[in-house]
Amino acid sequence: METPQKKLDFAQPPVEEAVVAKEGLESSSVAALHSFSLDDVLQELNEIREEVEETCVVADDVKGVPESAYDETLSLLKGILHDTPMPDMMWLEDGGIGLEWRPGNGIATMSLYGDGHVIYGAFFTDKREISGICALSDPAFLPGFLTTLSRLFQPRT
Amino acid sequence: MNFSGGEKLTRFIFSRRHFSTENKIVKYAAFMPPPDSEDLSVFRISALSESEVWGIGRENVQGERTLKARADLSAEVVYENNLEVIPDTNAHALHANITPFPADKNARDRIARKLALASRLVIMPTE
Repeated sequence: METPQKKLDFAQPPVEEAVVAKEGLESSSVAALHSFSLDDVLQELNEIREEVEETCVVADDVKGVPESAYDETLSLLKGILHDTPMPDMMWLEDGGIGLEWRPGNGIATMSLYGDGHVIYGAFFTDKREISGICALSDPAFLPGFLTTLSRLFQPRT
Repeated sequence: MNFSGGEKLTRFIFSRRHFSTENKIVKYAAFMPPPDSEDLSVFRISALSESEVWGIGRENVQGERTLKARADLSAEVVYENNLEVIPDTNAHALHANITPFPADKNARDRIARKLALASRLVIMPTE
């Protein structure tokens, strides 16, 4: 894993407010608002664990996911389950757990490898982008991204 | 050697978690290269029919894993991300690698997100 770092992409104008202001909310996202539980997460993680174990038996180029990555994913999602729609959860070939949301015309992801860090980012079709790596316990960056993510799914009034 | 930006590429997908039939999207995980590799395996499919594309998947890629879907994208998207499409024809004449993926995980995720968003999901037809 790389040296812990905090890195935001400022190649584009500051994204957070712009994204919140411009992105619409798709009907599928409305239905998914704030509607997942810890049981949902645990079930997904168990299914992922099974699939990774099965895949590693037959595929040389897939790395196993460390147990700490499952624990960190559970911990992260426990903290946001009331504010953010349930992400699509998946395993990554290079040994991580991936979380993905699709707010409007974009994609937001988080990757966890069990080393105490989260790789996060969002990209929209109009090229606006944010990305970075931070410690799971980071008091500023990760909550900022999660707040942005949460606001992307808020209905407009 | 790079191909024209209009060259159509496909990435075969083996996990149902790496795409969504309901939302017709490919997830970023489908574009994550294997560990410690800077290459993402794809096939050039511009000149192929649908059945020929799936034939490559079944005969040259599938192995012990079951093919579920594929992600089609244009080479142009690859070039926009400062990557190349390099032929790697040892296993198949139309095989190529999207390369070089950076070692930095944040940079890899950034590319994977962009490729996922620009790709089109094609589900494996039932036989």
